[in-house]
Amino acid sequence: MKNGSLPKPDKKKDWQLNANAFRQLLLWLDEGGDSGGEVYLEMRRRLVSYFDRKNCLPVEELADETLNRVARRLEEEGAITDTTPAHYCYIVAKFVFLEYLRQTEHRQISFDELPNSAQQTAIPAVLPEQVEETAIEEKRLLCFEGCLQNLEADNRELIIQYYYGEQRVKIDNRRAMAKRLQITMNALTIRACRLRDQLETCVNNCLGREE
Amino acid sequence: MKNQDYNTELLTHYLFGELSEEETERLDELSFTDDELAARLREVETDLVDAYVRGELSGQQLERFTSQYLASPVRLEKIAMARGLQNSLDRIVVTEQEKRQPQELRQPISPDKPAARRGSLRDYFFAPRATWQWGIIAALLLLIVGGGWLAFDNLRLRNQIHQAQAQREELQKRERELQAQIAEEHSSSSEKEKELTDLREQLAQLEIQAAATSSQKPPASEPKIAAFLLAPQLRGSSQLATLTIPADADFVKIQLELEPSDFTVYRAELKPLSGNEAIWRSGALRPRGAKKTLSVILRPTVLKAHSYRLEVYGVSARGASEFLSNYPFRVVK
Repeated sequence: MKNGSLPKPDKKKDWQLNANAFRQLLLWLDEGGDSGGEVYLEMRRRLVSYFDRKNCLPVEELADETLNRVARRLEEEGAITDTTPAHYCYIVAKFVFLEYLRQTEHRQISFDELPNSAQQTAIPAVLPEQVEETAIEEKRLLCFEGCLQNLEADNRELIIQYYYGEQRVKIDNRRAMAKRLQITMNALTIRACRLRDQLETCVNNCLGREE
Repeated sequence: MKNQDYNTELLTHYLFGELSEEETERLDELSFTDDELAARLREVETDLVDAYVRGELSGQQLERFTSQYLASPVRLEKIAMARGLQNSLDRIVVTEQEKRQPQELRQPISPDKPAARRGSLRDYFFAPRATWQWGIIAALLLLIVGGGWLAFDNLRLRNQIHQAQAQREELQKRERELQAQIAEEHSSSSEKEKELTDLREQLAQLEIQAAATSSQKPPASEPKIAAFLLAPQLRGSSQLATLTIPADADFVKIQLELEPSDFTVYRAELKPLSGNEAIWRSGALRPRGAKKTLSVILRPTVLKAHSYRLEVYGVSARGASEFLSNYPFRVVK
């Protein structure tokens, strides 16, 4: 993108993210480094969270749409230099959200109003708190235990300790962990969150295989 | 935005959509561009979800959470995942505890049970209970060992006290014996001094007699003794008694009137009136007569035509001398 101009609404709906464009997107997000795709995953997660806070549906599709537009712009322009990758992704996400508002008659959808298909794809067997444990929950528990065991011992210990305790105890515990590992609290949070993501991905895969 | 501004309360309001449009947009942008905020936001959200799963939310916060946060299917999935993770962690904790204490009974874990059973104060009694037990055992052992040592030391000190008391009594007894011995020796010494004084007097008498027998005078004549009586010098008085000694006197006997004192034994020293070197010293002298006078017998050759003084000392039972009186006189021949 040149001179910081805003991206126009996408009219090339047949554009597909190819391997070269994706590679270019990764390089651009890494800003010269090599995160092994971690920056891309983190950016996608931030996009998902953003659209989720805006009560959009489906959030993952919107996140992917945002990244596709960025990748296409990179392919077309060759480079985006006027702003940082994170800031540009935010700008594109904002436009995607505004388009979403314009294109759909969107209103805040409660859990009860979700169509069954959306519910099944977006919410794999989520039950209200009052409902007793179902078979899905039991499977999820087994998958979690298996995925925890698959973690490296250090990582498993980290995530157990990170989520141990309640309130003040948990905070003090985390501070002690950060001190012991000689990292900042922020770094510890990022590490724990990545491990949690890793677990959730593993559990989802496990549940998918089970089902 | 500084780190101290990323407080939990602000981010919670943001997550619940309770901030102004302007503030929301600002945080929206920062959630992309500020890595620290992004991480902090995620931490707050995760902790919120975990707290909900563990039943730690209550009141208004619970109401806000259920009305605002649960509106999203993605968040509902997060809750499901959080519940699964929490249950897995609970099982792991239980397994660890059972490994340490296999006999301990554990209730089955249910996500619906209140948070007080999971990750709560009770866990501190389970997980570190072995440590507590070992700590208590160690403390008891320490008490027993410490108490035993104190008792032993107490007994030892008591024995030392008894020994010290016995030694003291022994020493006191010995002291009494020695004092008695000293008193006895003093008494013996006094008796010996008295005996010595008597012997000296006898010797003086014998010398007089011997002088009388060795002289050319007819046996019928007795030794000629020039006798004088002196009183102690009064203070401020400069008068000297004059002793006129006949040329044919064989002995000079000077009787000294004693001042009242507690002494029973005395001694005398003859010194020049202006000097301090004794010309003649007596032995132990005892007072005689009702007026308590001391008799000093001298050869006339001792006394020249000069001024002298006789110093009288009281002698204590231990032999210490104490100056009592001065008797100045002038000799005329």
